[in-house]
Amino acid sequence: MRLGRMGAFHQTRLSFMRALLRQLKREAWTFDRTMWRMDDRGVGVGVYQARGPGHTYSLVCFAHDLPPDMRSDRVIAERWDATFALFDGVPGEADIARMSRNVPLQEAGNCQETELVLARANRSVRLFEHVVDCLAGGEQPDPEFVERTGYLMRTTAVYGNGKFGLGDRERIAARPEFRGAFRVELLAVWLIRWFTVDIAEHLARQRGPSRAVPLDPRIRASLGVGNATGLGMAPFLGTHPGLLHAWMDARETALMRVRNIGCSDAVTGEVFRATLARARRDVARWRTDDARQARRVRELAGDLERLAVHLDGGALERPAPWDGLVRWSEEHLTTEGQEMLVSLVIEPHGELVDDLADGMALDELPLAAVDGAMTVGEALAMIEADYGWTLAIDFGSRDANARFWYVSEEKLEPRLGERFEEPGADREQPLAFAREMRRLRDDLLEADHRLGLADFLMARPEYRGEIRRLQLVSRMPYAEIRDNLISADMVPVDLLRCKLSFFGATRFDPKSDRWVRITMYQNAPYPDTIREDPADDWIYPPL
Amino acid sequence: MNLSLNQVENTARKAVRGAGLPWCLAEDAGRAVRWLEMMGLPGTSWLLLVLASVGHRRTGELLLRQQSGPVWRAAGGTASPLVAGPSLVDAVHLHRDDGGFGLTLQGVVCPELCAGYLGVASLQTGAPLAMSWARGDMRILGDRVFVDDAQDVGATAETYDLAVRNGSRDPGRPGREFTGAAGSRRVDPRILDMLETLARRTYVESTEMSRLSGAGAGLSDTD
Repeated sequence: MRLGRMGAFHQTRLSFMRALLRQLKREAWTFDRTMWRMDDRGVGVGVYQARGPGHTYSLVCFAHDLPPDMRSDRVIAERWDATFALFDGVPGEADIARMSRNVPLQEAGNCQETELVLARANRSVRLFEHVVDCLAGGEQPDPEFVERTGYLMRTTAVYGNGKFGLGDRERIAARPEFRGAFRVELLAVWLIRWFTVDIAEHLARQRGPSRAVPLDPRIRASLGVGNATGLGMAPFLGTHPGLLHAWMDARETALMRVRNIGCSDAVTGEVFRATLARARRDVARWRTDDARQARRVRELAGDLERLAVHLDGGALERPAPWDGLVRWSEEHLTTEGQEMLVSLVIEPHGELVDDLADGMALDELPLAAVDGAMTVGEALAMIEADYGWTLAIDFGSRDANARFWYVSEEKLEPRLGERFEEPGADREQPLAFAREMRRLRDDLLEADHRLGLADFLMARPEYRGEIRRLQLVSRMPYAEIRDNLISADMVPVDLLRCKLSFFGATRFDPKSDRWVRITMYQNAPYPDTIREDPADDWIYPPL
Repeated sequence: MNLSLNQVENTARKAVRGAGLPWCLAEDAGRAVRWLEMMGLPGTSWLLLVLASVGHRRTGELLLRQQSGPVWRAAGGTASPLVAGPSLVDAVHLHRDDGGFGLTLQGVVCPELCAGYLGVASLQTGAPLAMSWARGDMRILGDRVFVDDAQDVGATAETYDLAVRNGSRDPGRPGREFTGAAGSRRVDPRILDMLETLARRTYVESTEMSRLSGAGAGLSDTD
C-alpha cells in the first residue's frame, strides 16, 4: 500500500471505536458517575465506572484551573485543563489520593500497573466558554457554533501499554473486551467525552445557580472529543508491520466479501443511499484551513455527488453491484473519494464483516523469528518480488535521503529531522526501510547465493531487522508501507491519517504536514445513553 | 524503582543501541531482557554486566565463527550474548524438529543473559530448551524456567563455554522455579541509571526547527 493512499483512508465499521461501542452494547455494560467532588472553579476529581461481564474499569478525572497562558496542545506542555487515568477495577480513597499526586503530572508522575491509560485534555476555549455561558444563563449554545468545533475538549496525549509505568498490555490482552487493538485507550477516551460535558454543565451551575440548564440532548450528542496528534504516533505503522497487515487485511477482507455479493437487495440499497446522503452532509461540514486537505474535501464532495448520480443510473441494480461501484470509482473518483467509497460499501454489511474487527490485534512475538534455512538466493528473489519498488529510488540523491527520524531528548518523542540541515542523523531511528532493504540487496548480491540466512546473519548481524521484515512481508503483504519514509516529498501526516482512520477518527484537520486535529465519537451515544441508543448508527451524522 | 515490562524492554533496547550495537540486535536484546524480567530474573542487571564487559568491543571481534561441528566461537575469543543470542534463536528454529539438537558457544560472557534469548525462542516454538555452563544450569519451558539450586543468579563477567540443547517438559532434578507473570518489576535504581545513561545516546536534542513543527505548534491553542 502506498502512503498517498493510506493518507486518504476514512474510518470503516471495523474501526476500533465503533467495534468497541458495539461490544459494550452487546454485552450490556453499565456506566455510572460514582464520584463528583468539584469546587466552584471546577477544580476537583470525578470518577466514572464502566462495568462489564468480567471486569470493572474506572476513569479517574482530575479537573484543574489552568491559567490561559499555560494552555498548549504541545507534547512538551506541563499543565492541562484535565488529566485522566483509567483504573483497572474500583479505586479506593487511597488509590485516588495517590493518583491525585501523580496523574496531574502525567509523564513526570508515577503510574502503577493498576492504571491502564494515562491521558490529558485541554478545553477548546471559545466553544467551552460559549457553552458554559449559555447554559449558565438558561439558554442553549448556538448549534452552528457547536458543530463548527465539534468538541468541548481535546486530548493531547493518550498513553497505554506500559508507558510511564502503566499496566502492560499482557495484563489485559486476554480479556474479551480488549481483544481488538487500542480498545482500552478508546474506552478511556469515550469516558473522557462524558466528563467534558459534565464539567461544562458543572461550571454553568456555579456561574448561574438559579438559571442554569443542562445541555440539550441533541447538542450533547453532536459533541465528540477532539485530539491533536503529531509525529509521536507516526512511526507506529512502520515499527509494527504485523499489526499494520492485520488492520489492512481485515479492511481488504471486508471489502472483498462485499464485492463478492452477487446482487443487492432493495433494503441494503436503501441503507446505502441513506448513508451516502448522510456522508455528503458530513463532508459539507468538514472544515479545514489546510490548503491540501481543503482541496481534497472539495473534490470529495464532487466525488460523492457523482456517486449519487451514478446510483440514480441504476448502478445497484446490476449484477455484483458493489464490485461494480469500486471498479467505477477507480476511473471516476479521486483517491480520497475511492477510499470513502470503500467505507460506504462496507457500511450496510455489518453482518457480513463485523466479525473481522476482533482479528485486528495480534501477538507480535512469533513474527520476530527468522527462517535461517532460507538461502541468500531465495531472499534476493523475495526482495525482487516485494521490494522491487525500491530499485526506482536513487539513494545517491539528497531528496531520497532528505529526512531522518529521531527521538527528541526533550520529551522522548519521535521527530523528523532534515538530514542536511540539522544535527543528529548519526542517531537515526530504524525507519529507513526502503534504503536499508536496498543495502541488504546489494550485500546479498555479493554473498554465496546458496548460503543459509542463519549463516549470513552470523557474519552480518546488522541485517537481521531487514531479513526479519523481508520474510514477514512475504507472508503478510500489507505489512509494508511501499514508500521511502525519509524522502523529501514524504508527507508525515499521511501516516497519522491512516492510523487514526483505523481508530475511527473523523474531521481530519491538518495543521501542518506533521500534525493534525481530529474528532472522535462525534454523534456517538454516551455511556449514559448507550442502553437506549443504537451503538453503531452515529458515524455519519443524522440528516 | 518499579518499571512496566514495556519500560524494561525499551530501556534495554535503547541502552544496547546507545552502546553502539545495531538497532536490530538492540531490539532482540530488549525482548530477551523483558522475558528474563518477566520470569523474575535480573535481566537488566545481566545486560549491564555484558555491556560493561564487552560493550566497548568492535562488533567484528564478537562475530561468531562456526568451528568444527556444532561449536561456535567469537572472532576475538570472547562471545557476547547480545551478538550470539539471536543466532542461538535461529539455531533453535532451524533444529526445532531435531530431537538431538545441541551446540556449544565458547567463551561467552554472562551466559545467563542467553537464557533470555532462549526463553523467547521457547515461547515462539513451544519447545523446551536447556543450557548449562560450569557455574550453572537452566531449563527453559517458555513461561517457566528452572535454575539449578546451586547456582547464584548474580552473574560475573567471567567467560564460560555454554552448552545449549533440547530440553524436556519434565524439568528433571529439582531447582528454583521462576514463573512468568505480567506486572511491574523492581529494578535497582543504580542499574536503571546506568542503562538510561547509555539510552540517552540515542536521543537527539531538539532544534528550534523541530519545535516549530511539533503537534500544537503555531497556534494560540485557545481555538
